[in-house]
Amino acid sequence: MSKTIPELVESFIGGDEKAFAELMRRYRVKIYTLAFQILGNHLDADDVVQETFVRIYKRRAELINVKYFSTFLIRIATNYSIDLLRKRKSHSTMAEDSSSLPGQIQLDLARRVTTPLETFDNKRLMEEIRKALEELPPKQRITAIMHDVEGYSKAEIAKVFECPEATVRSNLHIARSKLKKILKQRLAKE
Amino acid sequence: MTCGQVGALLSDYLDNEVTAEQAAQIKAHLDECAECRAEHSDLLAVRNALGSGSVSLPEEDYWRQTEELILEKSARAEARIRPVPRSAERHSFTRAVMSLAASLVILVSAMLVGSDLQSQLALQQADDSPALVTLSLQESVGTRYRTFHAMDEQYKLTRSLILIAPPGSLGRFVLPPDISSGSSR
Repeated sequence: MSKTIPELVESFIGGDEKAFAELMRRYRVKIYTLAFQILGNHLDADDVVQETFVRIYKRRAELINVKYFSTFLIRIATNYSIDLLRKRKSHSTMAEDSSSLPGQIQLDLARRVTTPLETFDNKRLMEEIRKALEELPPKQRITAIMHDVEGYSKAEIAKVFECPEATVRSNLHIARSKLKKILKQRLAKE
Repeated sequence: MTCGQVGALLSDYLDNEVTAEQAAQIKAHLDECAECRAEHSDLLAVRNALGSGSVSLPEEDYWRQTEELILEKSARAEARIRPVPRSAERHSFTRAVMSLAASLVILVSAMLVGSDLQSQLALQQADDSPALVTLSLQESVGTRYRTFHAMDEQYKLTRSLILIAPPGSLGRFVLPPDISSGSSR
């Protein structure tokens, strides 16, 4: 019978490498998809996955006091994603840099992973949404993605950001309104 | 409800997170107000568009490589923060004791050399060509300048000598400008 998350976490704190590997397997998709939605490209999502689990490994002693492993993990992933967004802004090397690379090079860099946007039914609209999301401040962007894209509840997001639920509600409302405005402007131009 | 009140609750209304009473009031307002209805419709479109995207996941090979990379990076991080093993601690302690003992031997030697130098110090008299004088317990160049009593004598000596001796044994030599330029006192 497979172990539960608390059991795996306990084994991991005790130094069980297999438990760590199993936790990785159970959460990697969740972290990857969230990071991809936030950052918009495979290379950054890959970076977030790696860094999140390395940080968890280094900080495993803290897990003794952590009630929800998942929340702790996602908090690390979102904080690191915010760092990347800020770095990207300050270095003016946007995600576009990697997505604008010639297809073959990007595929090589991404270890031969197909571009996820290719799977969207309406690629153009999704591209507009991605660009519109990039115009939002990190916390509003992540709140909108976590809630509307990834399906997290407001309570879960509040735990991740360690803020009141009312703040999440407000951020979500502002994010949606801004997205609506940005999308309308963009689509009206065409 | 006013347009402002509805606007503030519209996002929660979309998520079915308002009370039944609020929902009924908002619905009634939307039926009457075209502007709020359009706003509601737009927000709903945005939410649905956001939710319609999906990410195609990397293949199993990617995950395998990533897992290996993470374990490798974690092991490296662990090596940097790993507590020192007991055997290494003992080894480190022995080394520290030996270093301390060696330092003490050097210190005592230096003190002996220093005190002996002060009584035995002899330097060859300065001449025109600079000379290197190495001072040691065995070396006794003469007795003329056994000790230094006055700065004047030190100036005379340092004019053309480079003195190598344990720190403190000879005091501090300062070469004044008049000596460096060749004039003697």
